[in-house]
Amino acid sequence: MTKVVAHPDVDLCPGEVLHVKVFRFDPSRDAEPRYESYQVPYTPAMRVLDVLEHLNEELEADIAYRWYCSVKKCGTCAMLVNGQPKLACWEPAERTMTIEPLRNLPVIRDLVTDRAPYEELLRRLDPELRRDEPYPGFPEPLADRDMGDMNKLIGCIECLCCYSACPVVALGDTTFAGPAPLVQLARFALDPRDGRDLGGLSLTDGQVFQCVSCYACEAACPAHIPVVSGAIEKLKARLYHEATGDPGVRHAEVFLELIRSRGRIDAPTLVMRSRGLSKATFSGMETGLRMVLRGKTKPLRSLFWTPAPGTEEISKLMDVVQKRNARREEA
Amino acid sequence: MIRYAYFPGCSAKGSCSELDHSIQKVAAAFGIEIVELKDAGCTGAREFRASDPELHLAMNARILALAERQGLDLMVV
Repeated sequence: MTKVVAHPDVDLCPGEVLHVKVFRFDPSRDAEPRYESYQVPYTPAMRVLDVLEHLNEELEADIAYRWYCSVKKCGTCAMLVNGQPKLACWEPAERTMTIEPLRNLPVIRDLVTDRAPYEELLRRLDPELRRDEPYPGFPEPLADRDMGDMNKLIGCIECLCCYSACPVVALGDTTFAGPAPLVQLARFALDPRDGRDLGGLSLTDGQVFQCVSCYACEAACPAHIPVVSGAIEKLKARLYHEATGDPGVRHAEVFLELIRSRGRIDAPTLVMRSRGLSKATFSGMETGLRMVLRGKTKPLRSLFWTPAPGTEEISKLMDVVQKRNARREEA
Repeated sequence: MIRYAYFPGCSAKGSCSELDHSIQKVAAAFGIEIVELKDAGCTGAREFRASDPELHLAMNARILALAERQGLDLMVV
């Protein structure tokens, strides 16, 4: 169902001048990107896509941008509008706008980004239904209940707004696959018909535990896909059972143990105990030391800890819920 | 004076104590009295949410109940 939301600039009048700044960059000719400013007369129900069309058709601005369907289906017209990833075809024009290419992807020209990093990840994650049982024929007996969360992921239009919004992908030096590729992987990992061990793939090639659950991807998604709660957390939940011993799984286990015994999380203890004496622990030493120097962690408090007030009650509550869960699993 | 129950969370009490310090100052500047829920503990964050959604709900229902017991609306930092 489409939600109609009043826009802050619906009071724009036809003919009113919009002030638009557009990112311009042609790597084959320009040493540096630049911004060009334009003025565009507002027309009723004008979208960002209409603004760009006006710039090229009426002002011969020669801005490179990608679009195809113009009705929120093809996912090709994603760009930053005033710093937020948006679909140009679905975003109302505003009085003042800065239009830029998506973040976290190389720029080909102006607003056109190179989708190759995403497509390379897709090749590795192989999001395609591979059955271990023969196709039973049409119509396939499929209950909505069996499809579960996978149903919520089908609507992904691969516009990469989420990929552009992800702060972990923005770090650049990570092996994290990022939100959009993990949604594609989860579509088949959560599909009861798929016979592969896609949970393992979400760990090795997806590096799903690098997600920090900040929900920037869900906030940016124009198709309202539950990227974290419906895809990434479901992949993690599967790994908790299947990949015991992995530092990401260990992290969740230590987290639980710490809450049970101390009532609160102690970051240094959590990191040390989940990573153990590994390369990752030593490579994180510098960050740890900086945190100590800035007073963000207190090593003595980590060593000589006392349970936080309320710990006993928390621990009891955890016992009650976990016992109930265990009984249900047995039944 | 407006009174709010205040739930600081693990970060505000640990690696990000500037959150705790600033909320005390901001609340004072706005004339809001904050009553810290000292027994509240942890929400379980993303870890519990992924591994045990029911436990996650129970932990957070408890925190809301602590605020309710005092008859106060809750402010989370």
